[in-house]
Amino acid sequence: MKKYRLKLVVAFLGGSLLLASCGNDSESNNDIPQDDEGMEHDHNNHDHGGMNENREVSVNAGEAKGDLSLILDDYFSLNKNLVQDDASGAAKASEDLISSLKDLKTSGLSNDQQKETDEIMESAVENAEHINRNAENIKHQREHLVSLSIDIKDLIAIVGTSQKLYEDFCPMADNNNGAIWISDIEAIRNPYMGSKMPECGKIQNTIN
Amino acid sequence: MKKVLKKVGIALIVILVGIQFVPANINKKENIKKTDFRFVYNTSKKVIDVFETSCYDCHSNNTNYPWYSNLQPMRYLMDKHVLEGKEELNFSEFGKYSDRMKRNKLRSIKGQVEDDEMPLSSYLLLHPKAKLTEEVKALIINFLDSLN
Repeated sequence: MKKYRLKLVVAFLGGSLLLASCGNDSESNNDIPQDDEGMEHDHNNHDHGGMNENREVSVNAGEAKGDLSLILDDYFSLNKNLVQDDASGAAKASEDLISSLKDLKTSGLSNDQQKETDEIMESAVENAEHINRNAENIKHQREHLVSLSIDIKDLIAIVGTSQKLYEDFCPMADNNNGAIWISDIEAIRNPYMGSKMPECGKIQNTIN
Repeated sequence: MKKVLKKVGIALIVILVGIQFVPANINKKENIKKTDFRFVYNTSKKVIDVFETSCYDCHSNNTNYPWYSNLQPMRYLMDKHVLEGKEELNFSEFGKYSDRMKRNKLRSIKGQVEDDEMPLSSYLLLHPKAKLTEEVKALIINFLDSLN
């Protein structure tokens, strides 16, 4: 009887351990080593520059319908961390991004634009949450950056911004599917490839 | 010393018996809703079978409960997994996602399958049939690619 009890206890505990083993801890709070903008390597002007220059992404270049500057700052900070292969810094930056996304106020959007903005927000917040939760998995963070960057691009197209921005494209990102990101500097700093190939990519659109 | 061990043993058993009364969630709705993944896309039986075997336990409104799910603390952990799993991706409600979210979810499914992140290894220990062979992975990835 005693033996049986013991077995039962062991089975229970073993089973619980087994099931508990897949929790993911996402704690990590290293400070973000801020990248210095000054360290620009000379950005070689790519020869395809002339081909698809200045295709406006922003459809309403006139009045901005909200202030995206905080969102963009956090997004750029996230990208800088990924350029430096700093997953925990990226996680921290995405936390800021989540709150600035949630704080966005817009005005004068049409119903369709409002609906799309809501969908973008839902998606962007979810992507940022994944980046936030994967402080130990930079590959997963970069996967979500692919969709997050599309969200940011589409958000800019609807809400508008006065900042001069660049839409960059890297054909090797996302397992060679290719992916875009938005940048506020002309130089290519690739958040998908990181230190492996920081300058891979080209500007495919400019905004403003 | 022996006495102490005995006390600890009894205490453990009391706890284990006690927690059997912790209420369990039931994630089971027999009918398949119109929003189910299989109706959102043109899905072959082969593909949907794979999703049902390997994903639906935690990512749909229909969990196939194994015998030990009637025991605590297993059920508690399982409920937690199902809750979290459905929040992340729910095949039963796939049709409710916006187009943008659908695209994100499809991308994530592909990434998770490609990298063997899903199904979770802890789940596979207890559900060996859920393991995705290379052949099945290729089937799923081809299917997902065909949706773009």
